[in-house]
Amino acid sequence: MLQDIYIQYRGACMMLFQKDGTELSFRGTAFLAHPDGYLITAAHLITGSMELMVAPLTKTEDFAPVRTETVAPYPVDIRLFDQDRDLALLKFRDEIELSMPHHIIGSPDQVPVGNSVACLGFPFGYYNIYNPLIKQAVISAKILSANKTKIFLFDSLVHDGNHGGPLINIYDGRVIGVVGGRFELQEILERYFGKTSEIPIKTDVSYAVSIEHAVELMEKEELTVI
Amino acid sequence: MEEKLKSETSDAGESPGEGWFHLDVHPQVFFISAGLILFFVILTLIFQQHMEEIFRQMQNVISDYAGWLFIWTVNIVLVFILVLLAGRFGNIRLGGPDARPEFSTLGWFAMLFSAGMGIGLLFYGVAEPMFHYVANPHVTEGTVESARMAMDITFLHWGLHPWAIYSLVALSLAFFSFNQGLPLSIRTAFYPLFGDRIYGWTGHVIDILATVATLFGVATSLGLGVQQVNAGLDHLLGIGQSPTIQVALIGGITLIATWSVVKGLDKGIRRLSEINISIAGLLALFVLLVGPTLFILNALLENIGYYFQYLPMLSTWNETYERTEWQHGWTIFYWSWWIAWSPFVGMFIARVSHGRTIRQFVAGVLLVPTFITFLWITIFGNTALFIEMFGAGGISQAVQENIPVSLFILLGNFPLASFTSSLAIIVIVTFFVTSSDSGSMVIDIITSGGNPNPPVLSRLFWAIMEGLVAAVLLIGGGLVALQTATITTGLPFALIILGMCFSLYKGLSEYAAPTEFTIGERPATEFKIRTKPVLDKTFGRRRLW
Repeated sequence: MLQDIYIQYRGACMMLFQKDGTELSFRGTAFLAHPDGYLITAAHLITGSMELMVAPLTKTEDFAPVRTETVAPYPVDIRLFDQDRDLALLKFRDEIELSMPHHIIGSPDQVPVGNSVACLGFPFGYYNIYNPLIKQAVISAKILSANKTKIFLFDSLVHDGNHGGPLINIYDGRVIGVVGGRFELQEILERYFGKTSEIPIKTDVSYAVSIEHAVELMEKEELTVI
Repeated sequence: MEEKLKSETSDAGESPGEGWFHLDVHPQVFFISAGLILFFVILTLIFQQHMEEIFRQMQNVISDYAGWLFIWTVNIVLVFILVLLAGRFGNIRLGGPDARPEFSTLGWFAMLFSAGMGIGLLFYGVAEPMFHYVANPHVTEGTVESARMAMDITFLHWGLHPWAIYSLVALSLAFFSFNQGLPLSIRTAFYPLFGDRIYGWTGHVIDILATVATLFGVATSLGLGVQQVNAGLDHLLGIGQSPTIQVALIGGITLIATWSVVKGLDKGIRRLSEINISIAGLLALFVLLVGPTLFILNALLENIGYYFQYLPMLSTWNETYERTEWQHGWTIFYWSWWIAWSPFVGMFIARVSHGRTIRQFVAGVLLVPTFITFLWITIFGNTALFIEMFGAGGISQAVQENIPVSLFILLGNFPLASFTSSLAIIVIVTFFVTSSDSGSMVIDIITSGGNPNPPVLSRLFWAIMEGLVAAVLLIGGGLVALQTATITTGLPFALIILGMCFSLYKGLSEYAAPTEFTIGERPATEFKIRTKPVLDKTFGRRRLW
């Protein structure tokens, strides 16, 4: 099952770069979500003024080297930016021919707690290691954040480069969330109780924003989501 | 792709006017099919005297040389459908993963049964077991064993095989049109094999064959129905039985059907059809209760057991060593009838099955209607057998002389005979009207290039054509003509059915395989990635929390 999901989604996951003169610096993961050339990522990875590019991974079954020095990226534009939900909708600047499977957007509301999920991304990109990784987890909880965003907690420790990648329901191979980051208790305690503790409280739980909110963005862009 | 089809349809040069008086036809399919059918009608009328002999010859030639092909086809389809039931495509949902069924499961079962059930069961329900009891190629006639065999042969002809064929056609239509967004037409089922060529002549030929086969399949049913109405009226009122009366009856009933088409009484027709199924059910219940109840209940289980025990033997039996011609008028006729009838039933089943998974679909379409059919045949067939074997007798004699009257003779053995016979006539007439109405709808969908809501004018044309063909066939040779027409048009369509298995399998495999995201040509410019690790990244506080 996981190998099918990997094969299916490896073409969807892209490294997100910020263009800095003639050089690129890594920002995280983005994934293809609509055949008209739209990608989804997490809003906190980028700012409105950045010039962004994405690069797909090289599809191979072989063992891949750890070091990559150059990539051939596609320029993308930020179309919509939703900081409240921590989501961004990107679009390829140029007309690009792409094909993708049908019905990749899943039904997040129907996924039960305990459901197996996978997440895909480039966790160590910030350290110049660009190998894509797939990880398996279960949905540990479904929660509503302070601003009523639907959030999945899953029992896997994601790294910074993973942010913006897809959270995929293993049973139907469809995307149910956008990986946001680790579940940092600090941040939440601050929100509800003011500053409480100087000592970081570590958890091995990460979170993803329900794809429903990304669908809202795509609908705002007047895309038909199938 | 749909646009392509649209642009072809607009070639017809018809103005897209308002109201029912406008056409939306696929020119090649519509005019060639109509031409072929009219040609046949004219030919039959010119050679009226010789037609019966010609039909008999044709039936013999086709059954002799292509009988094995029909038998292969239906068995391949049954195995294929069973593989789908158990196989890895079972979880694919018709209409995409988020589709949910429109109708309750019970309502869906009722609709499935009413689609395939029709005039035929009323016509053959009593007659066929009696025929096989008196003469069958497997065991000595008139014995206990031949009673059992008679029911088994009838079950074979009405059981899993026809429903497997309907399942296949319905599934192809539903899958390619709901899941792949292709037009609702028979040619669509061949997309995996021919690609965009289905919009060219390859597709035209497939649709023309489907149109002609469906029309003759429906016309055969209408012909049988009208013979039976005639027999019933004769039985009740003594008006006599002749092709002239039957043609007059066809005229009358077709008029009702066309009137309902023009008036757009689709909703009324649907309601009528529901009431009709209930009346048919009450009729069966009446026979069950008033007739030999215990005998019927015992027989049902035994018949089903016997059917499954002998299924491999009977369904592959080919008269090879006997060198007889018994199958020509029975098995071969049935297989081709179901094949010819399959676009009609298939289209209907497809439309009501949106949102079911393939496993639910096959289980529902293959097993449930088969069981209800078995129940029906057991009630009517075993009652007739009971009367013949342990009661007054005389039914087999009457059936041999005149098949259509068999139902009425059976009802004559019970109280309230004239009431139940009238009821039976009403049921048959209503089936006639609804079959004609929905048959012309299906043909209209195909000849309009897959438009699910085709205009009324062309539908009217097809309703009249069905009546016309049924009438002409009756004039040109009665039952033999009806059977021959079905076998002749069923033969090319059998090849299409076989191709459909292959095509559907290919389509499902492609659909179920993990499809990858692929992106067109890569950009040429390469950029250097900054090698210094970004260790001091800060994402800042997220507004989310």
